Amino acid sequence: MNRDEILKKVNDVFKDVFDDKNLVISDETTANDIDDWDSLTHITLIAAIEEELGVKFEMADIVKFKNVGDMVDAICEKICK
Amino acid sequence: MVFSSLNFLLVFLPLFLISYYLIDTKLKNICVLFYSLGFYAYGCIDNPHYVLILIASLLVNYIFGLIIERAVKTRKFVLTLAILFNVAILFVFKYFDFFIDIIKYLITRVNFTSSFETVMRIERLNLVLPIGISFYTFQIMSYIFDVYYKKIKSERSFINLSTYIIMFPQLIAGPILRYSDVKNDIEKERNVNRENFLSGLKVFIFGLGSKVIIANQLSGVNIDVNVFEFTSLSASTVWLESVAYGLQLYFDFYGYSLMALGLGKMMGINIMKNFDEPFKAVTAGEFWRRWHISLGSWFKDYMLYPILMSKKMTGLRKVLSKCVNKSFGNFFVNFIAMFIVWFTTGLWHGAHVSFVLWGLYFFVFMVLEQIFISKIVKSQRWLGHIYLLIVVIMSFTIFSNENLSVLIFKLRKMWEINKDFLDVNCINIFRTNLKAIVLGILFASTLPQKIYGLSKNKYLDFVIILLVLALSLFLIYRGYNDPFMYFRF
Repeated sequence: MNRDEILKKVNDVFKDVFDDKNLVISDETTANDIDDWDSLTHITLIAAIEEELGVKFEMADIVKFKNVGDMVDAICEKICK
Repeated sequence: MVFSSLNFLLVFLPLFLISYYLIDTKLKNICVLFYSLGFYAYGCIDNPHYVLILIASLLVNYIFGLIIERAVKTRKFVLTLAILFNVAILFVFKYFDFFIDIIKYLITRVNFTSSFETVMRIERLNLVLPIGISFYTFQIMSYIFDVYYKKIKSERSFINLSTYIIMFPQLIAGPILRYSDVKNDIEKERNVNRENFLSGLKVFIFGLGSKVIIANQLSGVNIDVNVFEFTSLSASTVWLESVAYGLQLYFDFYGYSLMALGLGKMMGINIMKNFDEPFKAVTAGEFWRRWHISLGSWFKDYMLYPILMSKKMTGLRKVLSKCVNKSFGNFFVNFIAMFIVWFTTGLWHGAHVSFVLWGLYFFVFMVLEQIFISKIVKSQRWLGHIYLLIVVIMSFTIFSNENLSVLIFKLRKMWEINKDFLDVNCINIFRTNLKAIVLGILFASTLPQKIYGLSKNKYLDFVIILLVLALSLFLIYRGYNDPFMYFRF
C-alpha cells in the first residue's frame, strides 16, 4: 500500500467515525477543522484506523500527531512498501 | 510575592528587567533563575526549606530524564519511578491529611477502631502547601513523559531545564508549559527587543487590570453575601453569588495567565495562552478546552490517552464492540477513562470532597453530552449557551463551598422557583456591586476586545493602557492586594 492509498483509507475511516459521507481530509487537516473531533473521538479514530489498516499505534506515535499528515506518515512507516 | 503587589511592580520587576536586558545573552537564564528563586523564596518566607524541595525535585527529575533517554529495557520502570517520586511529593504535602482523615472516618463508621489502632494513631501532618506545587510538579511530569515518549530529547543543561520549570512568570500558577514549546526560546539567543517588550508590557497591564480592576472588585459580592446566615439566602442571592464568584475566579486566573504571557514576551519566551473565551462554549467539553487550557491538555495527553490506549482498554473496546456494537464499545471505555480523569482533575484542585464532587459533576455532564446533549446544542447553539451557563454557574457553587451541608442547601435553593426567589437583600447586594458585576459580564464577553481591536489609533491605545495601569496601581495602593485564587492549588 502506498501513502495515497493510506490517506484514502484513513479518509473512509473519518467518514465512518464522523458519520459524514462528504467529509474530505488532507494532510493539513487538524482537529480544529472538524467540529466533532475532540479528545475522545480522537482515540475512537485511532482505534478504527488500527482495525481498518491492521496497524498498532504506540503512545509515542500519538503524542506527535499534529495533523492527518503525521498520522498517515506514522501508518506509512509501519506498512508502506 | 504576587504580580499585583507594589513590591513586585515597583521593585522586583524593574530590577529584574534592568538586570535581564543588561546581562550578556549567555547569562540570561542564570539571571532568570536567580530572580525566580528569590521570587519563590519570598513567597514561602515562613517555610524557606520549600525552596530546597523545589530544587531537589528539579535535580531528581533532571537525572530521571537523562536515565529514561539512555535506558532500553528499564525505560518503563524508570518512568514509573519518576512518576511515583513526583506523585509522592504531591501526596505528602497535599493529600496525606485528606486520605488519613477519610480512612479514620471510615474505620470509625464501621466500628473497627480497635482492629486498626495503628492507623488510628497516625497523626495529620498539617503541612503548609508549598506554593505552586501542583503546577510545577505537573509541568516537570510532562517533561518526563515527553522524554519517555521520545517527543523531546532529555535536556543536558541543568540550567536550561531549571529555567523552564522555575522561571517566575509561570512558576506558581502556570500555564503548565511543555518543554517542546519553550525549548527553542530557552536554548537559543533570546528575541529581546523593543517591540516584544512593549507588546509584552501591554498584555501584562491588561492582565493586571483584569485581576485588580475586575476580579478584586467582584469579591465584594461574596463579602456582602457572607454577612447573612446561609439558611436565610434567597435563590436569586445564591445565583448572584455564584455568578460573581465565577467571574471573579475567571478574571483572577485569566488576569494572572495574561500577566505570565506578557512577562514571558518581555523576556523573549513564548508562554501559551491559558484561556480562550470560555463562556462562548456550548458544551462542558468545549468549556474545558477553553478554560485553563494547559491543565486540560495535560490530562488529555498524560492521563486520558494513555488510559484509552492501554492494552486493557483496547481489549475491552474490542470485546464490547463484538458482543454489543462499536458505539457501545467506544462509549463504555470513554466512560471509564473520563471518570478517572475527572475524579483526578477534581482532586488536583484541592484535597477536599467538594473538589472531587466538582470534578465528577463535570464528568456527569460530559457523559450526558456524549449521549445526547451535544447533538441538540450543536444544532441549537442559543440553547447550548443557556445550558452551558447554567452548568458552569452551578459548578462555581460547588467549587466555592467546601462545607457540604452549605453546598447542598445552596444547590437546592437555586432551584426553588417561587415567590421568594428574589428578595430585597439580593437587590441591595446587586446594587452595591453593580459596577463590578456589569464590568465582569461585559468583559467576559468578547465585545470590549472587538471594540478595542477596531481602534488603530496608537495614541488612544496608549491612553487606555495608561489608564488601566494607573487605576490598577491606585486600587493596589488602596489595599486591594489579595493573593491569587489559584495559588492555593
